[in-house]
Amino acid sequence: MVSLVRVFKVALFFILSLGFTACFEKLPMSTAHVVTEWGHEINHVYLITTVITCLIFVAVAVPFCYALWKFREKPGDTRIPVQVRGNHKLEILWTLIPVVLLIFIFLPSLEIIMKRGAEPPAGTFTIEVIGHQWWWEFRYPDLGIVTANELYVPEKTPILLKLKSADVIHAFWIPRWGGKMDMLPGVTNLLTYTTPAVEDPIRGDYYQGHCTELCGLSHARMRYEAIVLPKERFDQWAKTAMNPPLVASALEKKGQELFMTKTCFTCHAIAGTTAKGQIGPDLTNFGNRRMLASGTLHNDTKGFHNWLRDSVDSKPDYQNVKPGSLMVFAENFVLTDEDIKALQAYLQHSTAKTF
Amino acid sequence: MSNHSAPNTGLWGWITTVDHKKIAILYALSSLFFFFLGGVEAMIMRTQLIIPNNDFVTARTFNSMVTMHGTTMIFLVVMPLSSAFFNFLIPIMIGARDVAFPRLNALSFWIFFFGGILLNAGYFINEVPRQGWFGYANLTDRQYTPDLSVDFWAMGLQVVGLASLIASINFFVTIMNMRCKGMTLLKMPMFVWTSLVTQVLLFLALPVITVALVMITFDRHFGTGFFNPGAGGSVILWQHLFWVFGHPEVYILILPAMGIVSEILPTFSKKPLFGYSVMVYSSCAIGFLGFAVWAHHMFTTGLGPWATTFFTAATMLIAVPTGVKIFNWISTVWGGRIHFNTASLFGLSFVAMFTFGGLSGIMHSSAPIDTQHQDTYFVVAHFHYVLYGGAVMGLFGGVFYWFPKVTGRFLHEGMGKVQFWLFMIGFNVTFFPMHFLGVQGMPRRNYTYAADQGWDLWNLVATLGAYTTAIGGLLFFYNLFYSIKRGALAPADPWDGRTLEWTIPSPPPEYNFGIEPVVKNLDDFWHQKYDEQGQRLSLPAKASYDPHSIHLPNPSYWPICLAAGLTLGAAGFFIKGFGLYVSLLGVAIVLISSYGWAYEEA
Repeated sequence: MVSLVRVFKVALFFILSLGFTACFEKLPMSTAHVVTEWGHEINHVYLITTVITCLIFVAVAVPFCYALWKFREKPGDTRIPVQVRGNHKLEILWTLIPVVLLIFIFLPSLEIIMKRGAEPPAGTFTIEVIGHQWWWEFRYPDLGIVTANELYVPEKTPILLKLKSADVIHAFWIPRWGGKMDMLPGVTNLLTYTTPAVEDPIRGDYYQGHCTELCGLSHARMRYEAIVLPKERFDQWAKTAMNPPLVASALEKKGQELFMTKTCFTCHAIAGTTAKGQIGPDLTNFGNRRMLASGTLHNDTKGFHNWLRDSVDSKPDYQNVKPGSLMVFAENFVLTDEDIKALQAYLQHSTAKTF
Repeated sequence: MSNHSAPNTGLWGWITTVDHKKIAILYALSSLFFFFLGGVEAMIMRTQLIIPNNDFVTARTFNSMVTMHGTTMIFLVVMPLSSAFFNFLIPIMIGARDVAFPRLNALSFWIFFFGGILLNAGYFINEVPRQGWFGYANLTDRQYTPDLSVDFWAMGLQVVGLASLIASINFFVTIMNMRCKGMTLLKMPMFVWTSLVTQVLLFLALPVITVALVMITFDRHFGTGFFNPGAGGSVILWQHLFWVFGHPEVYILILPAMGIVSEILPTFSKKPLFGYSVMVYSSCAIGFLGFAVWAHHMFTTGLGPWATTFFTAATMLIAVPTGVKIFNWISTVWGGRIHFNTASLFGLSFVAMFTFGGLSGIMHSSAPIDTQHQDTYFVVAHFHYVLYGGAVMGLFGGVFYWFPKVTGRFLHEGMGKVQFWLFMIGFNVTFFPMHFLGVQGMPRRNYTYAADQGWDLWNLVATLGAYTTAIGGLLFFYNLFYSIKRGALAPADPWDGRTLEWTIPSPPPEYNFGIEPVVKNLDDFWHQKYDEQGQRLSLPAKASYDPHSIHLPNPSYWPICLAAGLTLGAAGFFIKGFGLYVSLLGVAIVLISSYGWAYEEA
């Protein structure tokens, strides 16, 4: 018996510590490592709720397991138990206790709901977020900036996100900043944050976001990153963000020509050039982006090559990298590996801004 | 008229049967077939997610699996398997010889069966529904899903829903009008009570999804634009309609299993259900509140603070009657003499797993917490604990418990216990780690995930758990085939039962009761067998009767014809080219069948 209890204790400890580690490991999209006030408020209610539900769990599991052990049928047992039909006092008790416990979850929830429901003050720094199948458009109306898949924000600043969709329903979620909000076609939802303080003032802090509403084939490939910068760094970024590309080498020049003559420009825009397409992501800042195809590939030589090769060579809807992507080409469209190298030089280097 | 030449057990007998017990078996077998299908779909998903960036299946196939697994398990497995229990048990438990409308009952089954096929027919032309079981507008619009996949889904569900609607009215009338002498409402077995509440939920909730599916079909084929924001429609309208149906649906799935467990636990602990009347009231309360919580599926759509508050409060409130049930089940086994076999193990595991799922449900009843949980694996874990650990485990308990009554043979206990443990272990290994994945931000319905997210380990563990369950499932199917032919013979009352079904032979004769029973107590059969001190009483000798004097409805082929016509009519609606003719043919068959039906001698 003693050894059984011991095994049970060890197992329990093992499972609990495993669960604890699993939940609190600092992963890119961990809801346990929040950095905003809203995130902390949610986790505060979550903690209260977890404690209460664990208490209820124990209150159910202990008598249940005890009963299963104590009242199990033993060999040769033929007794007929007393036919107890109920006990109103007990039943009233276990109706009322949960009600009281639930109030302790409800009240702090209510507080957050009401706080989040308040109108943001006029003049809050506003960014429009537009969901597309399957990428993110970020527009800064006050700064005249349009970019994609990377959301730059200044630290410790109240921001207002106006969430919209260009096609189907998407959902905006940066787990470490707090809850999610749907992006509905035909509706503008508002989401406010006070952005967190920066830990890495040079690179800025990267936070990962992900679409959380099934939005078609490549829903799983709809990631983005929010980058928090110190205020002065953010201002520098804003000043340079829409600068035209600096074409330095001959290869870059060839790339630019390809961009403006092949079909690229019909869908993509690059500020300060003749490319003004509105269907695909704006590529003015492409050179600064860490990731490619909204978080699908790394924006390096290999990623760039894979992305273009796959998009050109695959049939629409049957791409390997991003199935269903609208970056499709005519059947007889030719793009050599040399062309890709030139385009890469142009897009990764000429469009990179120093700030 | 009385028709007691040897019961026709050939194929024709099954096709034309109007006997509620045979229809129950048809429901059970078809839902188990779909259970296999839904299980395969689940295994494909888990295999795809075993490692990051896997290419076991394409995104398109994965999205189809997500959609079809959910749709199949809900509409083609849990609902019809519950329906199998309604069919077999409701008439017998209330001491009736059949349901109120036997041919309508056959019609329900055949409509369900053909509807299930229509729902899956996309597989034959590789246009499998892939917009999610909840079919959120406007992804279902023709602009975003131009092929027929959404039509298979919408029309398939429409047909399947019609089957449930017809059946719900049938069972409601049966319970209300056909109870035997002395069977007052508060002497009905608990399973009949939860069934009654389920029927009410069904016929109040199903019309809403019917309307919603009509609207989406009109949007797709006539350009009505109900859900098209570009034409002044609203995508949120679909969500309200869907969840006004969809949340009561959750209780439609769980209430029958709650009823089954409320029969199993008393029998195997040899005690009456603790707090019967409170259990009845809590079932009604759950049914009532179930209509007031739908928007908790929509906490992230921007409902506004007051609606969010209301739905948070209502959702928390529904935990109260549910909690009462759990404590009452524990009190039922408390002080009893608990006999452990496969049926009782499944029944007891329902209580444990359902409690666990209920507790994680309390967590995201709070709207702020839900904004972090919504559409992550935390929610996947939660509802699988409720619907799989809960509903499915409860239903399996019912299968092991009533199999001897239905077939006259026991399911093999040894295989049953192995299956139970494979299910329990596999289930928990699959779904418990999904809580971790949810807390770590893994979104649902993703056909793959990047390697830099740190989600690899628990996905691997979950997949291994799923494989364990699959072995258990295969073992069950083997057990079924084995036991139907070679299982040990079962007596009329193998478990020392408490309700009327154990008073009649296993399997029951076509007319159920030779002499219509008269009931004096709740758990009447128990009181016939034992006195208040638990002393065994001798059962009175059975009075003799003449089976030939019992009127039973005639078999009929009109139900299957009508159902086939109806399904053809629905399918023709979206078949390209000659669809109109298919529809017209379907309508003609429906009209002819209705005529034949109306003038047929019942």
